[in-house]
Amino acid sequence: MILFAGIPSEPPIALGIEAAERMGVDYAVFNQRRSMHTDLQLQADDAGLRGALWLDEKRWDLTGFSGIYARTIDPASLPENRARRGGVPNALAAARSALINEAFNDWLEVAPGRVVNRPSAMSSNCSKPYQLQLIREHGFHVPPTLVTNDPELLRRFHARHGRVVFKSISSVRSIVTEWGPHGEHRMQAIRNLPTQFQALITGRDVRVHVIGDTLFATEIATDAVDYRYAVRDGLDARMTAVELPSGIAERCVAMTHALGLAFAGIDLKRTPDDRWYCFEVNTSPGYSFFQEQSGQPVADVLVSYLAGR
Amino acid sequence: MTFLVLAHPNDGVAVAVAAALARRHGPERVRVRTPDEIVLAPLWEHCVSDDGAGTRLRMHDGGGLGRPAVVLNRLPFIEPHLLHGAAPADREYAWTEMLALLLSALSSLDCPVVNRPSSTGLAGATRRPLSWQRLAAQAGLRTAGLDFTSSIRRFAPAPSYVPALQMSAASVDFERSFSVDRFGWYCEAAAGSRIPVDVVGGRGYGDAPASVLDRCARLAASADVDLLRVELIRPLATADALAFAWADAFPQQLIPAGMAALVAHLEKLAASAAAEAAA
Repeated sequence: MILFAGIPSEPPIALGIEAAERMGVDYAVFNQRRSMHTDLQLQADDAGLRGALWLDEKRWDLTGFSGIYARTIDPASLPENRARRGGVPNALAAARSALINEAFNDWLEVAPGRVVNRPSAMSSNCSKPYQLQLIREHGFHVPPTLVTNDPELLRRFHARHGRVVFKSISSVRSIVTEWGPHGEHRMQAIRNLPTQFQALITGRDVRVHVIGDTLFATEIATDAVDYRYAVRDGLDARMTAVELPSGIAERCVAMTHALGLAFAGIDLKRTPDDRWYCFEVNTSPGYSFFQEQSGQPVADVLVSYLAGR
Repeated sequence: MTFLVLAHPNDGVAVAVAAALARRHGPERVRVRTPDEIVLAPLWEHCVSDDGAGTRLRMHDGGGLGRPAVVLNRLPFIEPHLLHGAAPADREYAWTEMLALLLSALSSLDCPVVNRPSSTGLAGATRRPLSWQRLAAQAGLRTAGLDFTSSIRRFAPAPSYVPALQMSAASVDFERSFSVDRFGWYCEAAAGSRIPVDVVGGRGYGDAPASVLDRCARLAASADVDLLRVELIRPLATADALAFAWADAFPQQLIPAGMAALVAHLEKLAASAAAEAAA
């Protein structure tokens, strides 16, 4: 029996549910949007750790799940907890929803069985340069990175590397964009907030998904700086399954485990001179985008992993 | 400068430690930097590459972080008001970005840092109640019972349990709400007040048996922090036995023995760094 937690229509969870049905794996769904119809009880004492979840009045023993796939979102962003049509949100319902979410995340930290992923392990990519420091220890090249609020330092960095991109420092999603020959006012804007710049690394993008000890590598052929937005920019992004050199594959699996993750989405780039750069380890990978394009059965392996198969 | 203290100006522990170090080693060897100075520094240069990571700051007074032998890191958060210069729509983003930068920058310091930053807490790992409880049990401590319920009407905690600190910052009129139903964390009621144990540099200090102090030290080691406040209670049901109730890697206060131990620990780390540099 496995548990999916989050928004069931969200593609990665939807694909997981679909795989579980197809594979005949029993499952339950904790739909965050039905928090008002959810109850949670956790007990920790000398007798051990116990927990139960009531989903629409049906009781589920939390210790009975062989695996949990959680992609929960901040309850404050749920439509039910936001003001609508000039009304005010129900503060009690919002607080209850927030507390259930927090307690459920607490359970994920200590739950027996397989958890994809435990919240503390997911926190390493709350800071991209921090995570780069961890990635470096696993033998990957990392792109030369500068976070600064000083235009002169940026000019020098740009001059040294020729082509430079900028993106968010935190896990807030941003579009990786090339820093072009902008006006001085744009350069001066970085004085307001330190901004992250990286040398643009040319080569082939490879997205790797590691689930337990299983690995899928997908090569993305595109001229876009950020392949996720290639279509928006009128460019192509073709995805094909590829085999990684064994040393690189082993490094990906070892790094995933060292970060405490059961499931990771690793962004690599292979340069023309065969150097492997790692940009980021996504700790809650949106694998559906890659599965749909490449046909790799990521969801099937995820469900098998959660079912303990 | 030997000792760098990163702390809010109203941080009593940091102020007391800095004062003690200044008394013992001279004020020129102690530097306190506040979140305001760091966040609003006119020059930030933080680099990560295959060669490693490093950080250089120039603050409004022209100074930087220097090359300290040891850092007391008491920056668990930064106040959003420090970024009030950003447009309202950008403030939360700016705050998140600055936290991410601070985590990376503090992690890049190449000297001992007490506590080292973690991705779950800038001033050392923060943990949720069940995580602390499990670590405490693994360290050999008896643990106080802990319950979470989303409805005490339907799933009441044990009769001897009392409401515990709620973790959520969600705003709600609990007085009014509680007349409807209650939800949240509940813990075993204690006889008397909580008993503090401060763990510093692998040793526990406090009014508890040596075996319990050793277990508290083991807990700090498994939590990967140099400084940890552990709170013990005597549960009503078994008032003779001490039980773990809570731990905090960013204690708001220390017992006198803990404070003295923290000063001595920083001195020891600085002396080791000096010996290493001389060698």
